Amino acid sequence: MAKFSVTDRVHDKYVVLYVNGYINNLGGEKIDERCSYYLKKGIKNFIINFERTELINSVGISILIGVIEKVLQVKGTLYFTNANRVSKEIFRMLELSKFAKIYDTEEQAVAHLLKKS
Amino acid sequence: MARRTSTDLRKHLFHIATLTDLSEEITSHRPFHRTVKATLYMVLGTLSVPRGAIFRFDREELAFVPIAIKGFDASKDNHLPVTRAQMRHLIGRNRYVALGSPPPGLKGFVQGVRDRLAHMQAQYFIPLVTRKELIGAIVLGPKLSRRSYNQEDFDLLPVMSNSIAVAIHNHQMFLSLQEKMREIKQLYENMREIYYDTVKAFAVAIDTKDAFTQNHSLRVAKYAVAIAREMHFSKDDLEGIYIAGLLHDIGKIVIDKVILNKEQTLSKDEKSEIHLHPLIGSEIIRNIKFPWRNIADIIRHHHERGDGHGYPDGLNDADLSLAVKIISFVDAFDAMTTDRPYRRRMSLEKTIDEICAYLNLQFDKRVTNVFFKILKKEITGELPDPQILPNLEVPFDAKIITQLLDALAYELST
Ligand SMILES: [Fe+2]
Repeated sequence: MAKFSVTDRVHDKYVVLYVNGYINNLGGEKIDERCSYYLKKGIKNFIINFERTELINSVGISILIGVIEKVLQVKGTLYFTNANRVSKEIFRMLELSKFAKIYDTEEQAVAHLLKKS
Repeated sequence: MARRTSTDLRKHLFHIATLTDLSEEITSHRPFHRTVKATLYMVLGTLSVPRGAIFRFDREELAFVPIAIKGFDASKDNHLPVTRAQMRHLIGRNRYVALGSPPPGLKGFVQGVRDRLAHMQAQYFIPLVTRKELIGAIVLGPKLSRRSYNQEDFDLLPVMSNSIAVAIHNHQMFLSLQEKMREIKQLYENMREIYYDTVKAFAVAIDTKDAFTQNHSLRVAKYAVAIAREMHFSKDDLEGIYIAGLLHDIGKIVIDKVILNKEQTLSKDEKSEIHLHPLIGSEIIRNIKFPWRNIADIIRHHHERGDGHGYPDGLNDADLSLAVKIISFVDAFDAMTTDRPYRRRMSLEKTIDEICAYLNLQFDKRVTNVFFKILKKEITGELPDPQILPNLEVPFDAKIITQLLDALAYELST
């Protein structure tokens, strides 16, 4: 298994975080750290792209809930995109989908976000 | 209906995965604080709850102390004090406490928890109990969706909390074991120190009996350690040879003082009485359970010689241990370089000559070689902590001795 990492693409209205690897341990807190970093810079809209994430467990969910809370606090918007079927089901089941918009592709999320603003 | 079934299945699978992760985490060898944090995240993730904490119960402080926190300020004072009566209630209850409707007997405690944890909007307090012992607690805030906790959550909670309780309990046992180990080690160290002091007191007693051999035992011990260190003895063996040096003449405490201090040549009987001291010494020591080995053996044989002419057993070179050879060497060296009732001390040069004359007969070649090397290093100032020179009370010419030792080093190594 490749080492877990988070890379990002910064746009003036939003940031896309690309998650590489399983989000199944505390290493996943890198997502939270990146998000906090950009929140401090005043960015409120985030897209998390899960294309390279095969597995998210309860620890991962807990970390993502932390991200949701932080983004909600500044009244920002959060998108989860490119997640596999199982991950999407988990997001729905645990009602993360009520707070993060789920899109199949990053482009759809970007389109929605730009239309909104 | 079909959709609902598939969601149920997904949920069950997710729960099973969490329980598997939980037991993997608990049996892992990761640092305890990381394990606790991960288990907290597992509980919160599974129940979809943003804020929660795991506490350990501190029996001395009589309070719950947070060991993992998520979703709220960890810097605030989050200790939750508890009375003994409340403690008993929590143990007897063995299930969660809804903070919104506290059971009688826990009202005061619950109010305290709600006040202290107002910033996380604590909703449930789950005591962690194993074998009737309060281990800690999990405190949970509201769900992300703001929905109430459902039956499924309440079914899952005890399973997870039991595992976490066991993990914390094991860790605390580990810590108290570690503490016990430290105490035992300290006791052992103290005992060693007491031994040391006792042995030193004995050495002083031995040396004062013989007016001419003041501090002889202490010097023998120091010289022996200097050689043994150069010969890479272990720390334990170094201590052992030091103790043996201090005690080697302990048998003299039962020898008549008059004989010990006699200036004239000793009669045959007097000689045989003195010759008893290694035997008596080893008998005195044999019944003491020293933390070091072979002390009695060294004492018994410190007057043996490689040529078989020593006493009491007339052993041969092959029968003598290295420690015995070292002690008998430095014993003789110190005897030669200090005044005796029957003669004055020798010069260093003469002493070295004497040692060379009795090489392999009385003095072991290897030990002699090492000793001369140390002596030379001490004269040239190569050793930061010299043990021989500062105790030596004979005048010598550094240049001549160095040259002599150099020549001997060459001879001894061939
Ligand atoms: Fe002796």
